[in-house]
Order: sequence, then structure tokens, then C-alpha cells
Amino acid sequence: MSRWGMAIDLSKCVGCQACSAACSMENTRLPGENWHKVIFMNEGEGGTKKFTWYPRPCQHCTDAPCTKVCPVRATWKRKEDGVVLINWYKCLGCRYCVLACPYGVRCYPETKPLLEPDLREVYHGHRRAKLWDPPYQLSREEQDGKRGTGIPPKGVVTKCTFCAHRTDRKEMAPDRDPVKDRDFTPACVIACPAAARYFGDIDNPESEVSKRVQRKGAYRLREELGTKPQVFYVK
Amino acid sequence: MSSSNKDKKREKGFPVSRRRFLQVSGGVAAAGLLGAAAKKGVASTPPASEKKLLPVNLPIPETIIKKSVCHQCPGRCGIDVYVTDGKVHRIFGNPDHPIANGKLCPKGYFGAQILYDPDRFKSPMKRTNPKKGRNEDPKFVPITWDEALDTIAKRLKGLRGKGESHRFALCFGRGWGASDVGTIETFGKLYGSPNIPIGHASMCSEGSKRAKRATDGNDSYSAYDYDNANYILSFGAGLLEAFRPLNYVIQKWGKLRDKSPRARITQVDVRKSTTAIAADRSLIIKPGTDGALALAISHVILTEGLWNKKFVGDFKDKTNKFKTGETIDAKQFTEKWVSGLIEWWNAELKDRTPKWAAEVCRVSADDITIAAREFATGGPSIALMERGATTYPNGVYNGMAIHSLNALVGSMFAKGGLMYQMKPPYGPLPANADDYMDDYAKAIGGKGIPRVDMAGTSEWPLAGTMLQEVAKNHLAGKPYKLDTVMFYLTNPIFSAPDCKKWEEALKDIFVIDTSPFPGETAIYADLVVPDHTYLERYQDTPIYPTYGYPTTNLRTPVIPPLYDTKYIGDTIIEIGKRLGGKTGEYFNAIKDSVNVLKHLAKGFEKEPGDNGVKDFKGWEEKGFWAKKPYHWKQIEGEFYEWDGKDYNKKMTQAEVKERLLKTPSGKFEVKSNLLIQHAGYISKKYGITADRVGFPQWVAPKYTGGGDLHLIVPKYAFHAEGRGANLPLSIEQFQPYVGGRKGTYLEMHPKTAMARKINEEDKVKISTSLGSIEAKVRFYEGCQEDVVVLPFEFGHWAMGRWAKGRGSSNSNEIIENVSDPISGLASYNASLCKVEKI
Repeated sequence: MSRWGMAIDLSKCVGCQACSAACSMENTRLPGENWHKVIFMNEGEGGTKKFTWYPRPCQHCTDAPCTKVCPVRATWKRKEDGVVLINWYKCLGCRYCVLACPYGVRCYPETKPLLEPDLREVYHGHRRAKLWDPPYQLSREEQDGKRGTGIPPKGVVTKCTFCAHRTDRKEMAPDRDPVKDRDFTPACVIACPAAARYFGDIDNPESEVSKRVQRKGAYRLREELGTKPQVFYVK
Repeated sequence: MSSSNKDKKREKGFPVSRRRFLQVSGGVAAAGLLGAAAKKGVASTPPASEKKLLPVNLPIPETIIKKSVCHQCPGRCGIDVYVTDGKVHRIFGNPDHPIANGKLCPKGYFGAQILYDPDRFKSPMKRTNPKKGRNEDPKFVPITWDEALDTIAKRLKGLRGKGESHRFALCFGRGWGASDVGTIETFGKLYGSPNIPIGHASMCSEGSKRAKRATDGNDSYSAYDYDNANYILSFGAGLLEAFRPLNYVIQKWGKLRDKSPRARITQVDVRKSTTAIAADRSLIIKPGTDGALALAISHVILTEGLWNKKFVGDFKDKTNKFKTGETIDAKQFTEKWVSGLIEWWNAELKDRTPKWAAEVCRVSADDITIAAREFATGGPSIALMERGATTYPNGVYNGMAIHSLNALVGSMFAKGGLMYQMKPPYGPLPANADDYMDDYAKAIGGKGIPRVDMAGTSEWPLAGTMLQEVAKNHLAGKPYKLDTVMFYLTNPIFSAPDCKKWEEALKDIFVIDTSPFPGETAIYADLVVPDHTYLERYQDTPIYPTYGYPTTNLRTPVIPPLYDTKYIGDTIIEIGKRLGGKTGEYFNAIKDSVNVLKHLAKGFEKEPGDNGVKDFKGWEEKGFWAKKPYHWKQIEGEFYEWDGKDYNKKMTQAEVKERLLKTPSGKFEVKSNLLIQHAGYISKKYGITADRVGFPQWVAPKYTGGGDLHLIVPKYAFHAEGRGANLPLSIEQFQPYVGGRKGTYLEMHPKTAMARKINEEDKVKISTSLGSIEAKVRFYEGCQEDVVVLPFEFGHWAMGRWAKGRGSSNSNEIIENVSDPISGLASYNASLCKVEKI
């Protein structure tokens, strides 16, 4: 088995949000449609309050609750590499999956705009097949409704694909080096200036990402839910 | 594991989400549908048609990757720009570029949004509404480039004809290299105006440059050897937010964290910035007291005998005589590369104990002592600062106190320490400006006409530029009134302290703006001659002080210009040609900006870059020229020069003075000869005795504004020097902790807010002696109780459809125009304010 996975080293993460910025431009996201987000939070009370943050891409759960609630099988977990994708040709826009996801990674972009003027009006998508149509977007080959990459049609749910349009271009490998394999690596991994993110095959014990995951203190978000995310946080 | 087992396992995890689903949907029918789907095992088996969905080894689409240089900060990261079907859609760091290393900071990715900004000027524009004001529509009409350039040339010729060429000023912000600022400077020389150009450094970070010139003789920012450093003591530098090059600094931060043992970072700050949070230790101090903390650290280093004896020198009998409160006879100490140490101790340091500083800075004395010991013993160490510690009226003294720490531990030019930046070997231009000076231009220098900002006169003798003074001086007619002003990459009507003065001043000046974006300056402009955006132009960009060895990048047009715009270098050249006479001859010989760049690149023939770049073509292909190594190194108190193989050539004292420690004494001066030369001016301005002016010392900052809360105006990681304000994706993520989303907020400690009956999301009035602005509040416990934070970037009333009306107003409207007398740096962070609920 091979599964794409990610390890994020929180001791190196500096909260600069380059990952979010790169993701939103690579995947042509709207403001508020955060496929990737850095969550800033504080823990504790008063004087001992600790400020912290963690980056949150789609967790690509091994047992993904979102895939199980989809009435039309539009979202599914891809066998070959364990990536959770959405087929926009099938998606009804019912948003059950948005509610089912315990990590809040799914977006329904056809809502009230976060920022006015609405980018969808400024770069109007004239066809139903396109929610909006800015000059900066993935090439036609990279936009694929079956995998949910690029600009969605109206009325569908969107989410992080681990940049499937990039990773799918090359066969599975233990590691994806953000510099050498740039065109085959998720944008957030390439972007991270502190090199806090590792992307590779978590089922291959030799991969850098597996080695990081095996270190002491590695954890996944909300383990108690049994979703078994393929995104790990390490120290 | 068989597939049925796997399914069962999946079922186990399933109820959680189903329960959630049922709660929310409440629809029986929908639940039934879901249940059925789940039983069929939808999730586990992808439909047959989708099995083919893993297209392996797909060809990469017809995409061209072009090399260029980012423009969002002065860092100058090399970028790879992906262009498909003539459209820019992706930008990544250039993997070969020594600053970018394949990475970018968050700002770099937004390039395409800047290029395709729907609010850009699409051609030169002429104002038809003679009335000027914030709410006056300029009623721009498009004109041709010929008309625009002829209008400017005619105006400039007219001024010169009356002998009033000094009444034309050209103000610039982010200058890049020889092809923009170089051309502008030559233009000023030939045309004959002391006001071409007026740079923006006095509104940027001039304090650090002047602190370094006063102590080590280099009027420059520093380059740092982060790779080999083990300890970084940062005084208010936003290493993870605004320090440049941000991308490079974060890369190094990641490396310092991976090192074993891991390098330690201490952040001195006035609020819990992301840098302070990510650092190993943060010392949160009262604003403007960085100098006091640095002096106390020096005090500990000396009294505990932790200074670097090989660099600084030592007592003749090798016993430490630095005892708190006791003076020392200078004869007992032999100085090596630091000059004036004992005098500094006697005049200042002997009483600057951690206990004293603890009270001034509001941190514990123990923390200061620990930081001092770590800094002095955990080296190689670097003490660094920029705006954070110097945007106060005592900025240069703060800066000198901080920079002196680098001398005490011997980090100057050492491994893991700091140095200065070498320049690239540019070739000469096709014509020498000195040969084209006409009689008018030659005579103007002798007429003693001061600059309109009075920089370099008895008013600001040590300041290089004083952009923030231009509006004030024009309004007062002192030294004279301007007739015409041109702006390049600067928008002081928004960004200068007391910026509303500019709104008055620009009413009766003929204003030429060159920005491609409709900023506040453009609203007051009579003529707009829009520049290309950075992805459409050729431009050289020699790097800022970063790592020492010389590097220069070439910005290249990744697509042809989208609109009828023109590169500023060419605009200036074209105006020059139209002026005729000798100036016209010179600019005809220069031809155009690409010709300038080709001549600059001839300098690489003799010194090919490490990446093989030896001409313009190679420069364009690779995007940069760089040549390692940095040529000098201080090892254990001796200086060595690179001989082609290693640092083998030992330098004489004279050579060190010429190349590295460029002070009159040829040493690091903790008794600054530069400041002593201006003792009269400095002692008057600070109210200190003339015999003390040379020492890094504690001068309490005079806060401006007259309120009870410190108003701090930091830059965040998305601050792109004014170019970030109209980018929706940048606005959304701008203020990480208080979660801006739709705009900026005033960050306030909840206790402070409660005491004023202010709640989250309430609208408040922030007032100082200059008036008031409005803002929305969000609580942040990382603020000190007497500090409120309003980020520098938003509050625009122009600049595009997204920039306007983002909740909070512009802090610069209420920050008094007060500057550090030595550097002239505007005291942006020295303001006090009152905050009330509206």
C-alpha cells in the first residue's frame, strides 16, 4: 500500500501563512474559501496564557467521515494513494460532507462573499461550469472536475486535494522533495520557507515523512474520533 | 487485511459523523438515504470509472517558466513565474537563487493579483477637475505618452528658464538599482535640482544605518551569517513578520531550529508578536526602552568578564576591574578593535545595572542577566534591530547601544556574526554624465540652495533625507515652495507621519504620479504616467544587505505589458531627451533602460557569476548574478582577506580601516567621533552635555501625541509596502491573531478595553494631539495593558476597490511628525493615544 501523507513540524512552523497564500493562489481560491488555513489560538488563562498556531490542510483521513455521508458518491477516498477527492460532476452541493468533517476543511464557495466587491462579480464566470473566471488560474489540463482541481462549477463543495493536479503527474514515490520535485509536490509544501512540511508515502517506512512521524511526540488532530488522518503534527 | 474487515473497521468510526449528520440535517428522508449509502459501502470502493483517475506521467502543460524578481518587499527574492497561454498563474521561488532557495514568503504568491489588479491605470492620465481633495473625482482623461512627456518636459524647461529648477522634486520609495534610481540621480544632476531625488529612508529604517555609521563607520544595514550563529538577540525586529528578506530569514529560522543543539533566539518586543511567540524567550518591554535593556546587557557582560578579549582588548594585568558604580583609569586597559570602552564605562555603563534597566523596561532583572550571559557565552551571537528599536526620538542611541553588543562579543565580521554587503561589478554606462553638465547644472551646486526637506543642512545635519518634512516645508514656504513634484513608488500622503499635511500641500503643487495603482497620491495628481507592474518590466535589483557576498538580480518582463504603461527608467530617459541641450544629448546616448542594463552586465565579463552568468543574456536566463564568498573575516581578533582560496591574507590596521571599520579611529567606536563632530547640535537637541554625546547611552524617549496608551504600528507578514492593500486574499489573512478576515482591527488587552467599557467589535475613537481616527477593536492578551496595536497597511481612502473602507483608519493621520534628531527617522512608534468607545 502507498498513501500520501504529510508531516508538519510545529517546532519549525513560524506562523507566516506562506502555505495558505501559496494554496489560495495555486488553487485559485476565493477569500474565505480556506482549503488551507493556519489556526491561531491561545491556551490557558490570564498571565500563563500561551499563544500558538497550527497549519490545517485537509487531513485526508484514513476513515474519512465525509466520504460516508455523500449520498451520490461524489466524494471518495482514492485507493491508489489515499487522497480524499470530490468529483464535481457528481456533487449535488448538499453539504452533508461539510457538516460531517470534524476538521472544518470543506468549503462551499457559493455563499455570501467574505469581502466586497465580490471577486465572482469582478471576474464573472459566464458559464455554469465555472463559478468565476479570473485571469490567474490553473492551465486547462490541470483543471479537472473529476478530481476537484481548479475552479469549480456553481453549487459544489470544494476542498484540498493535496494538489492532485501536481502529485498525479508522477508515479508514487517515497518522498517528494519540494525543490527537486517541485512540479509534483503540493503547493503548501513547496511554499514553506522554514521547511516545516514533509510530504511523501507514509506507508513506506523509509520515507522522510514516515521517519518524522515515528519520532516521539507525533500526533494527529482529534485522534479520539478514529478518523486516522494522514496528516501528522511532529515536534 | 481483507476488504470486508476494512469495511467493518470503517463502520466503527462512522457513527460519529452520522450522529453529527442526523443532528444537523434533522431530515428523516435524508438520513435514510445516507444510511443506505453507508451500508452499500460507498466510501470504500470508488466507482469503476474513477479508477482510471490517476493519470501517471501526464505531460506538463505548455507552460513557460520565466525568471524574475519579487517586488513585495526590498528582499529581492528570485522568482519562477509560470505563464500558460500568455497568462501568469503561478509564482514560486527560484530554486537556484541564493536568497529565495525555491521558497517565498506569503506575499510573493500574490504577484498575479497585483499584475491583474482590475483598478490599474491603463494609460497616461490627465486631470480635468482643477479642484483637489479626498472626495474630488480627478476626472482623469486618457492621453498619449507624447502628450504626457511633452507636458512634463515643457514644465521643467520653464522652471529652469526662470532659474527655479530646485522647485522640481522627485520623491521615491522603493528604489531598486542603477536602472531606476541611478537614472533618476543622473537626471537630477544634469537638470540641476537638489531635490532629485528625495529618498524615503527617513520614513523607513534610517536609524539603524546611522547607528552603524556612528559606531563602525558603515552607513548601511547589516548582513548576517545566520547559518553559523548560535544565538540571536533581536530587539523588536519582526524576524518572522517584516524583517527583510523575510523569506530568507524564515528559511534560516527553520535551519536554526533543526540544528543540534538548537540555536537560541531571544526576542525583545513591545507585544507578543509571532516572532516573540516562536522565540525561545521573549522580553516584553515598555516601548522605546530597547537601549536601556542593551546597556544593562553590556553592563553584565563587562562586570562578569564575559567580553571577547581578543576583539575588544583587556586589562593590562588581566584582572577584571569593571565593578558596578566604580570608575576605572583608562590607562589600565589595552584596546584592540574597540575604541573608548573605559570612557564609555565611566560615563554611562557603570550605573546601567539590570536592576536599573528592569525598572525602565518593566522586565525582571534576572531575565536581563540571563539574556546577557546567554548572549555572551552561547555564541556566535548576533544582536540585531531595525525599526522596532529606532522609530523613537532616541532611536540612534538605542541602536548604538544594541549594535555595541556585537562588538563586545566579537561578532563583527566573524563567523556566525554580522558584516556588510558587497556590491556587484557593474560595467560603465555608454555616456558619462559629468561630460554632459551644462553651465546651469554646473553652477547650481555653488548657489547654496538647500534641499526642500533641509536634510544635510544645519537643521538635520546628520540626516541623508527627510521626506516627511517636504509637505510641512512647502506649506511654510521655508526654504521655498515647490512647483512640481513627481512620486515613484512612494505615497507619503498616506504613509508619512501627520499625512494630512500632504493633502494640503499637494493642492497647489503640480503632482505627477508614476504608480500603476490609483493610490491617494493619484487622487491629488495632475498627471499620471503609470509604470509597468513588476512582472512587465526589465530592472536591475542588486540585493539589500543579506549575506555579504555580491548578488544582483534582473527583473524581466514575464509577459508583454498588459496596458499602455512605461517603465519609470524609460519615462525619465524620455523626459531627459525632450529637455534638449546637453541633457538631451546624454539621454540620447543612453537610449533606453534596456541599453543601460546591457552596459551594466558588461561588468560580469571579467567576473562571471558562480552560476556562469557573464553577459546580459545569461543574466536574463538565470535571473541573477552572484559571486561567493564575502571577502573578509575576523578570526579571534585578527582580520583576514580572501586570497582566492581562503581567508589567508592578514590585514593591516589601515586596510581594516579602509574596508571594514570605516571610523576615524579605524576601530569600533563606543565613543563616536561622528557624533562628537556634531556635539553642539546633539547636546542641544537631547539636552545632554557635550562631553557625553559620543557614547551609546540612555536618553528617555519623548513620547508624542499626549494620551495614556502607546500606539504601536507594526508591519505584519502580509505587509507588501502598500501593494498588499488591494489584494483580497491578503486582506483576508492579514492580522493572524485577532483574525482580521475583512480588514484590520485595533488590538487591545481585554483589561484595558473593559476599563473603558469597550467590547470586542466595538467602534472606537483613537485620538492624539493631531485629532482622531476610528477603528474596530478586538481583544488580544498579547498586548501589554498600556499598548494598543494598529497595523501599518490599511485605512486607505483610495488604492483600489478592495483597499478602501477596511474597518480601521490610517494611523499616520494621528502620528505627530517628530523625528530622531540624529538619523531623521520618523518616530512612528513613539505616539501615545487615548481610546474611547464611540
